[in-house]
Amino acid sequence: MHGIKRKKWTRELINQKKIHDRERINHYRNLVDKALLARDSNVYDLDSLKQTADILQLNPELNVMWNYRRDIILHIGDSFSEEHWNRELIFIMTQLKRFPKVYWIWDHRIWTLNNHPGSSLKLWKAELDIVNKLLELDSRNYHGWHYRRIVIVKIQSHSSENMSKEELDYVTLKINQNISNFSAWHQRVQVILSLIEGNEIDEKKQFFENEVSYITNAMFTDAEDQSVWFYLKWFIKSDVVKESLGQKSYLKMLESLKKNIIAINDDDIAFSGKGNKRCLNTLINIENIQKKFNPSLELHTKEYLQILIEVDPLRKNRYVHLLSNL
Amino acid sequence: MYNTERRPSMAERRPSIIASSAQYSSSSLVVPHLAGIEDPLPDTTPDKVDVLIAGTGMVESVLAAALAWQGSSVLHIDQNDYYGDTSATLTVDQLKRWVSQINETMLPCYSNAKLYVSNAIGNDNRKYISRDFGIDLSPKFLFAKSDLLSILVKSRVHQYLEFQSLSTFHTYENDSFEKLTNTKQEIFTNQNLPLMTKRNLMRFIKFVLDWEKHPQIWEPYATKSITEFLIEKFNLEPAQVNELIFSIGLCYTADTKVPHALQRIRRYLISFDVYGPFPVLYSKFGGPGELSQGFCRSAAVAGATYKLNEKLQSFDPTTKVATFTDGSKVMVSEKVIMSPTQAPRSHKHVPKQNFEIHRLTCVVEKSCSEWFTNNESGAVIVFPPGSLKSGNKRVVQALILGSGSECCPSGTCIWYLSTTEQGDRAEMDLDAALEAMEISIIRESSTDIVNDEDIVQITDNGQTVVNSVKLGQSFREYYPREPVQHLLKLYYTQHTSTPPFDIVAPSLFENETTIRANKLNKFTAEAGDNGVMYTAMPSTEISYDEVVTAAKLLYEKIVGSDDDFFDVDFEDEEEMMSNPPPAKYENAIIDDEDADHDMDADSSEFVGEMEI
Amino acid sequence: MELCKNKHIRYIESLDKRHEDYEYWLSEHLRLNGVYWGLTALCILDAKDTFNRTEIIKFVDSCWDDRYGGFAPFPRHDSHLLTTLSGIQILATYDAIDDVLKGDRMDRCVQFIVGNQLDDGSFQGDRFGEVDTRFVYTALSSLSILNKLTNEIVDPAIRFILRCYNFDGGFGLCPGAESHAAQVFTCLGALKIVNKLDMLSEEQIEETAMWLCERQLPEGGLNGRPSKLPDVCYSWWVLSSLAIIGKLDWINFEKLREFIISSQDVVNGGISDRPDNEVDVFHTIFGLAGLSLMGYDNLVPIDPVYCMPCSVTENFVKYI
Repeated sequence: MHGIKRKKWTRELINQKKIHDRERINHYRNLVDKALLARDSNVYDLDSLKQTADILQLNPELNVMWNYRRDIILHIGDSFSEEHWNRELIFIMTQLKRFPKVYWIWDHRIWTLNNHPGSSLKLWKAELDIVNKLLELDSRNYHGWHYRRIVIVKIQSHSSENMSKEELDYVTLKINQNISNFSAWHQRVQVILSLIEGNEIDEKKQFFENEVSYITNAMFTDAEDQSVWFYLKWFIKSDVVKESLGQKSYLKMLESLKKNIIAINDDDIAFSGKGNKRCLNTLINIENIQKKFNPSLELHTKEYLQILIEVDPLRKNRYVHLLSNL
Repeated sequence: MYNTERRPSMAERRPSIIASSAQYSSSSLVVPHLAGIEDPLPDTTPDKVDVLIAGTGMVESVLAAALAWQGSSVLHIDQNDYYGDTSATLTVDQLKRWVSQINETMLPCYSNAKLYVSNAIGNDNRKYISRDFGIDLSPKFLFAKSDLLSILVKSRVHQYLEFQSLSTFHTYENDSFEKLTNTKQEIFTNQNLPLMTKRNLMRFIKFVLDWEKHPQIWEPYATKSITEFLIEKFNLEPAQVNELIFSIGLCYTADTKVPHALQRIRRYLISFDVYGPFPVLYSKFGGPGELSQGFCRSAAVAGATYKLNEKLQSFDPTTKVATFTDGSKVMVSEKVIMSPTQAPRSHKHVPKQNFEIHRLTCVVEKSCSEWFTNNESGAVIVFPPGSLKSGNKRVVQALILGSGSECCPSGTCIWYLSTTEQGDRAEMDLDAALEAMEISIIRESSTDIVNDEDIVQITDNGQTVVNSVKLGQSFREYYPREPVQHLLKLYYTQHTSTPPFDIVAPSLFENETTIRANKLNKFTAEAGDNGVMYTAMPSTEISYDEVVTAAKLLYEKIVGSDDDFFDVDFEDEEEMMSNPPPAKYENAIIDDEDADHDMDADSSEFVGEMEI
Repeated sequence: MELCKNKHIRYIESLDKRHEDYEYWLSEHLRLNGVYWGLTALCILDAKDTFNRTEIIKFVDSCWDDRYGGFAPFPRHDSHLLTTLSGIQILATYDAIDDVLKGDRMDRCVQFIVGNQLDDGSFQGDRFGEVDTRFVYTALSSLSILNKLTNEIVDPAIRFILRCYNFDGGFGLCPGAESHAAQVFTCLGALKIVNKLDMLSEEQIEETAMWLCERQLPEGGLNGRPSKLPDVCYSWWVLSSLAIIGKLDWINFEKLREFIISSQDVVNGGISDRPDNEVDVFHTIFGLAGLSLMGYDNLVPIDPVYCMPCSVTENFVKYI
């Protein structure tokens, strides 16, 4: 099981567990039986709602109970007051805090908010605060980031304001805290595309030039971290960037990145005698782009690939494949 | 002889805390009473014990607890009417007595004590009373990842104590206090660091985390100085070199050898983000004084007997009888362990204390919050060699504790300065550091400056200086208008057998005379300390790192092996595991670095989908 | 070190005999998936007969959800696309689809799956609306095994999947979501099932392959996203994806085998996510399936698209 250390089970431990489990199993199975019986008899009331909560606290993955819970809420209809809905949100939150990686809980939260009669800008903004908190606890939580994007769409549809600028500040903060947070870099791409699409950036050229120094800064801070290099790959290949900078500045940007990457690579060679894998892969990409603008450019692809075979043996076959395609 | 002049002990402070933190409490949180503080001293001493320990300093107390839990019968005595001995936390009145004892040369291992106490402190309607202050004789802090911390947790002594985080380390340079740039985030976001420097710094930090695994990098420099290594191998700039060696590594000189320095730099970095974004902790209400008391209480729970105001007259290694100055006697079947400060009058075997530590402790009437991170109450300031007016050759280290540490009243602050410089130079260095700190705190806390951004200043020669970065830098020529009020100022020299910076070596505990005497069964005539094993005086080390090493070595000498050192098995161990201690540290924030483990642990019972 | 085949067989065999364990009851919601994982693992170990065919088919039959159609993970639970696929996979492995999906069940089952397709081509897992590329895969895989795919279902589904392709070469759980190795598998697998891999350009596929091979860490294991810990189950998600696009050898086999082998419980059988962790059937099947794809340890060949024995999938009717 994920992240749980293997335990040495002595006979005594097994016996202890058996005794302990016997009670727990009885309790759990009784609860589930009762709830399923109620469901089969179409019982939809607050008591049965409470039953599902008791079970879900023991086992948040029992989706049949989440389903029953939703059916109960739908059946109760208008008499499920706003107060009840809010209590539902609190219940889900305590579950999420205990089990932040269980799909069903996240799913149920979205369902609840979508069906909440008081669905409003305020409600969804409060959700954003909650996501911020959860991402503070685990800044890579896959569900958390997915949920965040859903919440932002909702806020925007309620307020008709574009949140991308705030969102850019948020991902910048997240990246500053840890430049290896690829989830934040990924979101940065989404946010920038949305800013461009919504025509939200006045000085596009300036904006992307700042972005180049941000990338450069990250590259120098940790040249072994793949996050920034994936982002860089998007950046140099992006049509949006190319158009915003204009061809001349775009080519100048490529050249300056190349110079810095070579400096990092040289520095690594001076330090350890070995080339830097990320640098070399990126240099190949940059040169390939440059070649499109300058057919006479001399490529170092072959040389770089040969070094890569040495410095990155795990991916040797990929480099061999690329070499054979030259 | 019941002592009325003292600070409340942990047992007396504790009840209210137990009530307020019921969710953490288990029965073992109850702090047992200690003889001589809350309980009267026992009238009689036991007839026979396995081990007699004299002195309730840090090492002796850890040793007493370890032995008591291992099953040895321990009599632990102290000649003072308080606990802590060389590690004590004293009130102002206690401090006065302590200083006069030194000057009457009744206390070996200390010399040259000078004490100034402002008349604002006194017991007749003055602004402060003696008990308001808890002054540590050898102040220390605790690395978040260290031997002592794991023993504190294992022995559950941590439950008696309260810890606070300390995250701000400053390096004094060019008349200004620079905060450290030592996390990836700080390196990434620092606008002033050149790109290549960022790279070099990160490369070094990554390397040092498991430096032993990369001999090809450091071995060529194994006998060279860390300064040379950082400059030649990692191309680091002087500012970073100083930070790494002196503040992060807490080394004393620039020529510290590479492996030594790497080990010390590493211990800071691996301690970062263990309990939150800070590398070290300190205990509230007093440092080593609190900790040694905590271990004494733990030893008492395990059955050790305590007696204050008890001093050894002599030990006879042939009959194994120890005689005390009050005439009582005890049979000691195993060993007598003793702090040099507690040596009998007729001692002949106290090891030579060849090294001096010069200390200057100051209580100032300023909160000094400018030096603390939000919500914290402590800071460390390091003065690298050559940074002071005195032209210091060795580092001066300063530990700052504010009123939040509960060691001094609100509006005041304790500054502990120390240096390994020997002889007369030392006091000059300490004075220079004190002056630098005074100037800095005055200008940083001055209310004359309303806006600390974009300050325009006209210098003497008419130049305009605009500074929007650091206050400290812009007021280089600023002279304080009002001096800092000193409430207390204490100089003293402590002597120790532990060389600065060395790990405690086993040989320290065996002076040659004793070894020879034990072997030949021939003892020095007239000596009261034949066959006694002396502990080492606290070294200059500002962390607790040497304490466990020393206690373990002594333990091994007594028990034969250190395998079961604090191998304590509590009955409710399981419950403990599910309630890990970190939750109790104040200001401790959950770290998200490897949230994978933490976050998954909860939903562990469910064979889920893939790890995401 | 050797792969402890017999121990793993015994481990899987023991899984349904753990009625005294609390955890057994807490995992009811995964029981049908668990049976599929166990059965497939046994197939790979050439020990298919370890399970009693009649009993298993009876159990699958008892998981039929007569209220909504499809299969639930456990009798009386609710059907879901994920468990419906597991049910169909078990039946296909035993060549018993017609025995269980008899009468109007076949039509109701197809209706259950198709009924969960949304306007944008995506699928929800059940009537409560969770959307994820996992469900596109489970729907297409189920319908493919049942030979019920049509252009009306496939074309919008493909359009949705292509929208999940990311700049880094990976796929997310929905458009705009971060790349994740398991999601890459579901997207590539879905495209392959309907013979539409050519909707991606050669360059796009090379980017995907690069992202996938970057999942291998120095210790040999694979992770699911950048800067995460390695986990045995990604031996499957990453390797099968690479196999689907014909780049299986872009990672280092020896190192990966070493990692999987060192995650075995050599005493009681079973494989865990990482060395020295608690084992479970999920990581056992995906560890074994990974080894099979790499051709190690004389294991029975596994189909990277369906995660079922090749001997079973070769009988499936291809969608053209």
